[in-house]
Amino acid sequence: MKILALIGNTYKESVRQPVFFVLLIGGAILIYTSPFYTLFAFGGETKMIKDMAFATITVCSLLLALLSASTVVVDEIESKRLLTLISKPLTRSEFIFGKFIGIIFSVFMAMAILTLIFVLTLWQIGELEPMIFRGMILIYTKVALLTAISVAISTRMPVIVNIVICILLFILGYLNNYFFGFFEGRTFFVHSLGRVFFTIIPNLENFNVAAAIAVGTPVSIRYLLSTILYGIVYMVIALLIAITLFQKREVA
Amino acid sequence: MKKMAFYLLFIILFASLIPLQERINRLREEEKLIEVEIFEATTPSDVWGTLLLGGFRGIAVNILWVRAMRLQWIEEDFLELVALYGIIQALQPRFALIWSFSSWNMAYNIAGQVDTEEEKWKWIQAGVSDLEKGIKRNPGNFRLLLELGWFYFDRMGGEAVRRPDAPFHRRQLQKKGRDHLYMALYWFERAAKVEKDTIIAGRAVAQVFERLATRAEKEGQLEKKVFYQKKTLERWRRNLEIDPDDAASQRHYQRWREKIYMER
Repeated sequence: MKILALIGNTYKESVRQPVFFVLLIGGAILIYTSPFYTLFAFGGETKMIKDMAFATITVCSLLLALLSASTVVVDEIESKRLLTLISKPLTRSEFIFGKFIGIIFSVFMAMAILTLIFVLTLWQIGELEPMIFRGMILIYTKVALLTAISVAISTRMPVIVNIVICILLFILGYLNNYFFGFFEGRTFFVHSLGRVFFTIIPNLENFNVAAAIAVGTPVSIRYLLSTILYGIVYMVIALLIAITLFQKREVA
Repeated sequence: MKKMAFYLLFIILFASLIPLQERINRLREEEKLIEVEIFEATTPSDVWGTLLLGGFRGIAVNILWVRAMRLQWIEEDFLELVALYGIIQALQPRFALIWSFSSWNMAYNIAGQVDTEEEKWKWIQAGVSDLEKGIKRNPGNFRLLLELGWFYFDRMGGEAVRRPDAPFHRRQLQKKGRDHLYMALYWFERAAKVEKDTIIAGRAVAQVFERLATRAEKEGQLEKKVFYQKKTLERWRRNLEIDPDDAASQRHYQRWREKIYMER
């Protein structure tokens, strides 16, 4: 019950931030007006609209998640609320978990609204297809994964450092396959080292099916479930790290 | 004890990611969610060009294309076009037409403007590499496959009257151990496999066989000549099966049938 109260409070704090509305409105406008930017798509208008919408929803949700998650511990310490919270029968693990769930719930609401705008845009041009929802589920899993990492970093690092690390991980996560190819065919030691390194960095390309959906390639349930499982395992790892780091953190 | 259990859980979770990632990679290939090799799956330009720009990508692309069309048709500044097309390629890597425009610009427009044969060859090679890159990003794209074949067939294989620099390019290609007609045949056949129901690529394949037969005849290689003549006839016949009303296929088929009959 206590954790539900924390989740509810975190959600309310997140959606009341001005940046929530700015990102939501900005993203909605970009998605809804995207058919006007496809003058030079030369027959690939629908593909471009879908590509742009997926990218916009990813970026908006991610920014929202990072801005909330990076301040999740720091703000509570600075406002002296954390000491009150964890001095009551609310464990540090429950605090981390509750904050995480609250943030991803607010991200879910933002994504739901942007997805609705996307669906409306596609419906208006007669190109609506159910596969886009699978793409959205994968985007949500990806954003939740990065949120978990940001929450873990926020237990020890300030806001700016947190955001920089997360953006770096975001870029490296997409280039994971690209860099991993450098290690293919090298010596066993180099290959194994590369493999370990790129296992630690989450492979965000797994969640990127926008290009496939844009050209009408179906995404199977098998793929969807495997990728969601991948995301969940990473989230669990990140939250375990967050809890471990937070256990020893001075909060007074 | 608790710490040990915690670290063990950590290791198990990380270890479980490896087979899971392999499964995901396998599913992506099987379901064609990603068509290029894993190494080429994403390039840095994919990240900044498509993902980070988000909804602004469309606006940027529109502005760049307007500028590109102006440079192409009004100002005819083909060198600046090379840089501009490069940026558009970063923003629209899976839009096949940009690779077609860009490579054509290098191999034909710029190569046509420069003076020396060496410079022309440099730009033709640049056009070929650009198109090969485009094919890697858009495998199975009919237009790009056909165009690359055309570069070898026409740009390097054209008659001396139309392309006085073509013999030089063919010699340069031979230095790399390649023959322009075999290269053209390879790419045309790949295009023909992609679009089985149209005869555009089929016609191109047949024309390459015709040239190979003619060349073998000039060089006095009788066996090769007969082999390629047979191939020519087979291919025109297959084209007629796809489109019986195609006048060009009918004409060529008839001509080659008569030629082979007369020679026998």
